Amino acid sequence: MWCWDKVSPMPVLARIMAILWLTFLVSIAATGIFFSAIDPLELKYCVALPEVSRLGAYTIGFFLLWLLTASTSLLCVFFISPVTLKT
Amino acid sequence: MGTAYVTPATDPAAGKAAPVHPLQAQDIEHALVARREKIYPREVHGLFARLRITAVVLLLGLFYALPWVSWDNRQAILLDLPARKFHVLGLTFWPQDFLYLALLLILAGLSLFFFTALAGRLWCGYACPQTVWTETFLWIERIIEGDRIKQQRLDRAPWSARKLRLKATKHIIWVSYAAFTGFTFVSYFTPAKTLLHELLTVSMGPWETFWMCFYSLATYGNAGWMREQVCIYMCPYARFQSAMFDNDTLIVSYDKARGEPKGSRRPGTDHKSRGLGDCIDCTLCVQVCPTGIDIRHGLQYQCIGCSACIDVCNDVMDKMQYPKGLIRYTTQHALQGRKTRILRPRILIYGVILLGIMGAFAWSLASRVPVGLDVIHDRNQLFRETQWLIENVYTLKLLNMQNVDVDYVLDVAGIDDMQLILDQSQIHVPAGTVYDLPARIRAAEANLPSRSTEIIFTLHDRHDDAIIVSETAKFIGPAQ
Repeated sequence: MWCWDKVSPMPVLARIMAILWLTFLVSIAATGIFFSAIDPLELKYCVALPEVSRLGAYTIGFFLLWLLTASTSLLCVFFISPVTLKT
Repeated sequence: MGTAYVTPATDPAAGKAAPVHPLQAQDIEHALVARREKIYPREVHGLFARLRITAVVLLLGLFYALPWVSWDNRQAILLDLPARKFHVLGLTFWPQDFLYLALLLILAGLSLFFFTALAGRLWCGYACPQTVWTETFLWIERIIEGDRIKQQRLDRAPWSARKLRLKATKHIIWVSYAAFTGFTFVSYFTPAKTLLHELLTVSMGPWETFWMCFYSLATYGNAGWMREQVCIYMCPYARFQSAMFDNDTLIVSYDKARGEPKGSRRPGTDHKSRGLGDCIDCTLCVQVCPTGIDIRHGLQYQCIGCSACIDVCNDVMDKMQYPKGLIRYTTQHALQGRKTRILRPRILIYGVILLGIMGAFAWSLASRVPVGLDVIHDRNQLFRETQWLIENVYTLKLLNMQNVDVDYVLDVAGIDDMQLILDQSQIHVPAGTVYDLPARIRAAEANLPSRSTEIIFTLHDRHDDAIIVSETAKFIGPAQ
């Protein structure tokens, strides 16, 4: 990505893979913890959700968590890059 | 792409870093900056190769066979996510048993620490799914495209009918094998026999189809294309392993004192008189390396501890009639000519904690009570006043975790002369189900110590007093 090339020569694809893979692992753990505490079928009593099976809810939940963790990591990486790179 | 990139594990500024070999930082820089060149690991034979193949056959055999094993008329290991129950052999785990999963994960993490401190990256070299599947994919590639030299020649050659045929065959077999792997993965969550039937009749559910494709694609991509890049760029363990290493850790090392100065020579020459060490610089150790490093540059974070270089170097040493072990499993202390201490505080501490948690796991599993009770107070009405008594209404959620139907007995305590009123004379809960039981409690207002009094429900198996569970609840009365 544009802003990273100046601070680190690690290949862009490798950086993206690193973010996706690490957040993937964390999301699996988070999905496990979340859904062992909460039965997705009971969620429909609290919030208006479209009718979906448990397996569907787990899948959607997992991808939402992955989206959340990956976007947070991406933003972190973006923000810890130095603002000015002139030395 | 220009400035040096140094990994956290080897950053001198990071404080507690592993000792960096002078060539190492430079190598890492190269590895991370350079455009990836495909690595063609040379086939290797020997003790460690046999060990790894044994591990691959055993682990993959287990993975592919387990979904077809039955136990009590049920798949032996079935993580039934739709029903929120995990069946493992004769045991059934519920979401309430999350503790066991947490303990299991802690155990896995600690074992990794323990074995890494003891003998380096044993996990990476022999048991990691990435290694195991890459090994299989390499094997398929070797059967179709031939050995290392033939593969390199084929990749360099211009496109021809033969190249197209070989490449297409390889990818078709890879994709089919990956699809079979994806199918097996999903069959841990949906019974394998049902899934196979659904697959053959094209009636698989959308989520199952999705996960099968997802896992297949991940296998194909990781084992076929990404390979060592997964270990180098993506694996968190590779980055923090140096924290678990010390000078007494067994690692794959090149004996520099014995090998240097390296140089080629004819068999039978007296190399010592020519001032040469035992390394003949044949570069076979580099050719067999699945991550493409040169072990002669010292411990590197790319080394997954597969020991392929040990095997191939021992062969060369045999041919040259030199003693084996120029590259071997040894410790930093041994290489410096000092004594290696296997039993050291790090190993003992990891070991004790590991044994402690294993013990706790076994104990809690053995004393696990297969019954659950949740008490929910009626939300609409806190209490009712009858002519003489105050009444509270509850819904009890009874969870029978056993694989047989059970008759329970319910008791309640906490207030003098309290009455428990059930609409039914027997509490019969079928195997592996949750049962909603309405219950009313009555007590005299004079016996209530405060507006809200704690009461205790106790549920036990009519035929087995060891299967017992208690749950507290509030009994609400009028303001006093």
